[in-house]
Amino acid sequence: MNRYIIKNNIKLMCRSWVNILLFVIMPVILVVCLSSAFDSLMKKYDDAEITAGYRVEGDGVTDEMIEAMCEVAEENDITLEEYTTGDPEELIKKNELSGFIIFEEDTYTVYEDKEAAELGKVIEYFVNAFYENVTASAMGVDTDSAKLAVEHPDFKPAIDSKDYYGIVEIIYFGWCAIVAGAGIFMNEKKYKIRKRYQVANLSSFNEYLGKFIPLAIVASVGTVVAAILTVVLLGVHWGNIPLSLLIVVLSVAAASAFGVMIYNITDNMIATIIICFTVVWIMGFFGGAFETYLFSSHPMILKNLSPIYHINRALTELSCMGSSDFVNSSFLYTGGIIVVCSLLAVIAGKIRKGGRA
Amino acid sequence: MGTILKLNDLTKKYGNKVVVDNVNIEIQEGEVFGLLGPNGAGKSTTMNMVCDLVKPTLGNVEFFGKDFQKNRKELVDKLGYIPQDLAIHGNLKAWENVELFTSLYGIKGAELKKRIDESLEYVGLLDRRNDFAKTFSGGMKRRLNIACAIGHHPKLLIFDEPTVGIDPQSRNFILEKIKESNKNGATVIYTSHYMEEVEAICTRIAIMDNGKVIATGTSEELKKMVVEDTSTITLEEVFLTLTGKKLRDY
Repeated sequence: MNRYIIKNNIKLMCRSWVNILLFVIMPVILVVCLSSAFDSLMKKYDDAEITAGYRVEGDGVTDEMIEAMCEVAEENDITLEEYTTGDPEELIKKNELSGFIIFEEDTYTVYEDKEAAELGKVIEYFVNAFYENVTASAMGVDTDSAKLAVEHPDFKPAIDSKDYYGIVEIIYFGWCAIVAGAGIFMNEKKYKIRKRYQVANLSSFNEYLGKFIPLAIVASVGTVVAAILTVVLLGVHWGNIPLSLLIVVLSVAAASAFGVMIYNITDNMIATIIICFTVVWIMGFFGGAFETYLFSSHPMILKNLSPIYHINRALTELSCMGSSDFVNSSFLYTGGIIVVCSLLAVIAGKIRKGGRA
Repeated sequence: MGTILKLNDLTKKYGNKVVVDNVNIEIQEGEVFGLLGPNGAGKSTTMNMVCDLVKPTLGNVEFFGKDFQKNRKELVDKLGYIPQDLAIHGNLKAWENVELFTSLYGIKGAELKKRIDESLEYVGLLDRRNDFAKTFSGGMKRRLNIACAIGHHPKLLIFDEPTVGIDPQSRNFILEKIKESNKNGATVIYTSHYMEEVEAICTRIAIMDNGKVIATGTSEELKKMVVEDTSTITLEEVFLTLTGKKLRDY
């Protein structure tokens, strides 16, 4: 590893005002715009009170448990009101209910308010969780059915628009890391600086490190400075700071490796930027960079394929809940991208050198 | 004085087009060897093959008696290449440019610092070591371009048209420095379109045309190929006689 290439490339990147603008100022401006634009939308979910209607039909097991269910629901901020007659959909409209449940002998049906389908999902989840607890209890599993724990993201402390967009836009800009090195890599080609590297027999691996390490460092620092600015100026909460910081840095490092790989393959910076921005936009689209992942209707498989989804989800959950099941998957994704893209970038560099300059 | 560089049947083809055709040149240690030719003659491709920037289609380059391609690691620090392009970073200071390119040869720490000052002093830029390269004039950039290639003390220096687009003072300075390097033991290969420069500093000259070496010898020997009385003819006239007056890049 040639530390002088790394050091001087860092200097070159830091001397470009475009980098400061892109990684520090732009995301902060975007966070301000998006968080205020979506504040009212998020507020709707923050203040939601759930009132559901119900009716018990037949002599099913629910008849005996309905009283207990109403108590547990109350503990979880859900009010259950009995309506013995009437069409469920009409009742939802007429009484401003979040949903309606009809308990039959061994089944139940949940009707949702079409304008607040997510609240209907909460009701469905609650009923399902209640029955699971009761079943477990009946089977002798050590479960306190009276204190039903309803685990649903909507029941956790909800993230507000400022925190959400404060986090996801910083990550989105971090994925544009290649821009920090674009000018230098273009100049290396334009002014035939790479000829000097080749004459000096600099290996493809060292040439790659000379690009990747400075890019990852400068883009990470820029992204972290932007994140600090969002904390200071906008009061964005990043939750578990050391863990969040690690995820942000790994995310930017993965973006850098990906960008350098594309550049080594295409050997054309314009093409690299177009490809990178397109891929990042698609990953961001399914990853919640443009709408909150909680409320997006994209297929789960597409969300799971997007590394940005795992990173955004981990960071936003760390912000509002202090922990997240997505931390490990975000580490796996970023680590995997760094290793695979580095390998492919070195191979592409070797192939290019094989044909010489 | 032994042979420092030997080009054996060096050939480069791009598809069916032969750019360099069976070139055989032998350069002795301590020589200043001039390579002349009209545009498209194959000079740059030949030099690129010498530096292993372009892979020959046929033939090979022997450097210090060894196949250069097969012994790159061992021989690489003996070669200094000054490209025709200003291969420097405008947003780096003069000393940072020299540091970057000298470090490629494994020189580091205090030794690297010494070599940086040495190289900058050699090209007369020590006083401007902390200035950004982008603030330099054309001549200063050319000198910095040279400083970036000599910090590792190469035995063979290849200058590819190092005086293009600079004022007479800078040109004179560079030519003097090439002579000085040669006196200090470096072997030099010099390509240029300026005949008077080549005549002034080169001990031996090869003229290339259409990818082939059409004449080799001292300035006097080349002149004698055209006329008996060498005082009546310039190297440029010899060049035009051997290569013709037809435009090459129209």
